[in-house]
Formats: sequence, C-alpha cells, structure tokens
Amino acid sequence: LARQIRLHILEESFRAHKGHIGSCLSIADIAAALVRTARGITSCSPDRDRVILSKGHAALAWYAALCAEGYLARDVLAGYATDGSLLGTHPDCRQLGIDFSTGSLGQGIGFGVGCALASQIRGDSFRTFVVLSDAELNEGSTWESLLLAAHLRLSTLTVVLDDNGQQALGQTRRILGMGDLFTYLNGLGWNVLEIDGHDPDVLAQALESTGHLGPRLFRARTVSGRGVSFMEGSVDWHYLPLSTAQHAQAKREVGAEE
Amino acid sequence: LVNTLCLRATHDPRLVLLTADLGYGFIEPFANRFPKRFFNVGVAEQSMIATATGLAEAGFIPYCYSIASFASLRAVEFIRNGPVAHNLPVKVIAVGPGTDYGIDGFTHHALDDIGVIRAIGGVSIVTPNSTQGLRKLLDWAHAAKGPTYIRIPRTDAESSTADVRELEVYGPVRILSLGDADMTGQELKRALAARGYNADHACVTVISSDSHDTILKFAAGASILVVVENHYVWGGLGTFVIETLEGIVAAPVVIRMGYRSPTVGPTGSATHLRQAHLDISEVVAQVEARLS
Repeated sequence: LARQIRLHILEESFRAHKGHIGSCLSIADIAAALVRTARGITSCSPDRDRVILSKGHAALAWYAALCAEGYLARDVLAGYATDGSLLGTHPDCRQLGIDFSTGSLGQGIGFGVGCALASQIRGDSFRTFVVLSDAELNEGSTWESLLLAAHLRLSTLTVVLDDNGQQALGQTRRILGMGDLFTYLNGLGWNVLEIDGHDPDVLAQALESTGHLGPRLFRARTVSGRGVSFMEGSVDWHYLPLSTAQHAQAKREVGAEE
Repeated sequence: LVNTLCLRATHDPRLVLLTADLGYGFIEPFANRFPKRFFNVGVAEQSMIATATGLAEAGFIPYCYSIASFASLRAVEFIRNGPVAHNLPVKVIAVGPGTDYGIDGFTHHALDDIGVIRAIGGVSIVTPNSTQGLRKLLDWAHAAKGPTYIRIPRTDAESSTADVRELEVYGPVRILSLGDADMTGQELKRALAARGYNADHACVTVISSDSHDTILKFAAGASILVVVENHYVWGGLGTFVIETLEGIVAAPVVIRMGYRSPTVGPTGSATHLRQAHLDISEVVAQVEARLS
C-alpha cells in the first residue's frame, strides 16, 4: 500500500508539475497506516473517525492513500491540481474523505482537539487522528491546542508527529531550537511514544492500541523524501517539481513495475 | 446574555460555552449549571476558535466568549479557516465594542473588528441595541447555520429605537446607528431636532448578506443619511452602506460618524472617548450645510 501511495505521489506531482514531494513521501507510510486504521473515512456519519492533516501541504499523500485503498477514483486523483478540481495542493473539506480544510500551519491540531472534545462530551466512540509536522511546533497556536488537549485528558485524540527534522528553509533544530519538548509533553499528560514512521505495520498497530489515559502523540521518526535517494533529507524537494528523468528514476527507486 | 444561554442550553444539548479566561462575575451561572458544557481554554483565543470548529463539525453549537478586540483580531485567521471555510455554526461573543473598555486603553478597544470580520466574508454580524433586543437576536443567531459574530456592549441598556428592518421612513434626513451606537444616534437625533430637523432614526442590529436590501429600503428617498457607529469610519457600517448605495441613482449623501484615528495616547472613560471622537455638533453642521 505504501509503495502504491508513493507511486501515486510521484505520478501526480510530476503530471501537475507541483512540489511538496518531500513532505508527501515523508508521511506516505503514516498515510498508509491511517487509511486502514480510521473507520468510516468516506462516510458522512458523525461517528466516523476523523483524520486531520494539520500539515495540509502533504495533501497529495492522503489523496494517494484514499485512491490506493479504493476510496477515491483514479480519474479523480488524476485531476490533482487542475482547474476545477477539489484536489488542490492543500485539502478541502468538500472532498469526501477530507474532514477539514487545512494549509495554514498550527490550525489542524486545534480542529482535532474540538473533535476529540465532542466525542468526550457525548461519550462517542469515534477517534481523532491528527498528522502534525515538526515545523508546526514553531506555531504558538499548536501549543495552545497541545496544552488544552492534555488539560482535558482527551483520550480519543492521537497526534502523529511527522518528525523528519526538516522545514521550509532548512533543518528544524537549526531554524528554531526547541529543546526537549517530548519530556515536557509527557509531563503535561501526553502519552509520548517514539516510533518508526516508515513501518506501516508498526504504525497501524500503534494507532489501534488502547488502554491509555489522555491524548497520545506518536513521535514518528521519518525522512523527508523517503524512498527516493536524491530527495531524502534535501530541503529542495519541499519546492521542486520533478523533471522527466528524475521522475523515471524516482519511480524505479520506489519500485514501479517496468 | 448568560441567562439566555442558560435557558437555551436547557433545551438544546448541543450548546457549549467556551471562554478564553474571561467573564468573571457573570459567566459563572452557566459554568455552575452546565459544568460539562463549559470550557475555559485559557488565554488562547486561537485555540478557542479552532476547538469550537471541531466541536461544531461534530454537531455542537459552540459559543466563544472574549473581549471583542481579542475575539476578532487575535483569532481572525482561525475564524476564516475554521467556521467560515467549513460553514459551521460557531458563535463568537465579542464583548466591549468600540471604546467600551475606555480607560483600559487602545489594546482593549474594538474599532476595527467589524471591518476585519466583514473582510473575511461569510460571517453574520449581530449588534443588539438593547438587552431585550439581545435576547431576540441570540435566538436568531442560535438558529443561524453559519458563523456569527455577536458584538455586545458591556452594560445593559433599554431602547425604543426601531430596528431598521421594521421602520417605515419618510423624511429627508435619516440616521442609521449600529446597534451599540444607539445612544449616540439618539443624541444626534435630538441635536438635529433642536435645529429644526426631524430625522428618522433606526438601528442596524444585523449585518449579513441580506442587509443590503434593508439598507436600500431605508435610504430610498432620503437626502442625507448619517451613519453612526462605535467603529472606525472605514470598514464598518458606514462602509457597508456606501458599498450598498454604490451605483444607485439619487442615492442620499452619506455622512459617516465614527472614529477617524486610533485611540492611542491620552485615554479616558468610554463616555469621554466617545465625546472626544464622535462630534455631534460637527455632524449637525454638515447636515445643515448640505440642506442649505
């Protein structure tokens, strides 16, 4: 599934001549785990699990996951980033399978807190999953929401932190040092667990696990551009579109059938 | 406000109240009566709106309480990308319009909130001119499907000024007050009467996409339309009226009575600041000059 998601990402970003490929590949395995874990993704039921891409610029990874799992038609995915399509480079809630429109960093986590609070008030069983980028930890609003989630002990809230150590202009630790956030979050009441962000089976197992009190944060160790040698760890692929030769090489490396 | 919310909450389990750590001394009845539907999110207006967005998506009707300048300016991008983008029934309760917070200073003055909220589109603005009017408007706002910005004065008031949607008008001079500027509008009406001009006076208590027709009806046949508001003269009701009348043949002359500069520097009570910035005699002189 993750391989198919990566292939969709490469194919559609190449066709649309769009960037953010590194970010999409970074969460391809997370998307694979989420699309199989979350219940009722494309239903309109109020009891469906919510999936919120707080790092909205990686929307193509989620579209690809929806498509690879059969929730989104291939021809709809082929309209990615074309005029009139609901599939923009950032997600729009009018598209089935998208719970919230995001794109401005530091907002999706707050929407997730609201959903989790709703389930807590009513005693509903639906779960809320938020994919957060490590760069979003720069945003003050992210911390407002992290504090509130811990204070309210929102046990149905799970954050998957895409901890690829990279943001728009370089490495996160060089741009804005943040110290040992995870010990601090633990102290607040978050259940912080470190996890391999490129093992969909481990991720899925973790997402399904229960028995915790309070919100969870999986610190998913990831690599930006994962799966394509010339993209891995390179900030350029936050921006660049693929050339024809690069596209062919990337597909080979990801494992496209000849 | 709180009594109405309590009453509504007894009948509607979807109603929840969030505060960004404000409301001391009067929000407690709700908190005590509905502890499972009351949340103090801390001094965090952005988080309050984002949380309300998630709650509303999941079927609740959240009310978000703060001082108007914080509820609007600090949180505006969250209102835009949250309840507006998703068309959700989040109700922002913005207390202290204009210079209501007086001596608390410029940071607490909401002179630009309507301009900002109008600019992002998709939000109905409610500005009651009396306590009784507030109750009715809250009923209206609660039923509204999209986001609502409710601009509420700090003190109770009673008023007999007609709502613009209900007044039949005939005279050449007309005064249109934004709800919370009703008292200033009444003072202006009296000042004009003293000079021999009998102005028709009405309040605007809702600004929404439906309000253009109401304004057109009120302005039809008038020579002069004075707009009074506790807001800058740009971005608020006066701007809305001018936008509405744009291109209308024989539209009245519009005189905007509002704040024309930031309230930085020497400060004072709400009354002092209104008198310093809203010069009734100057507006009377303008009306006389136009009519002569």
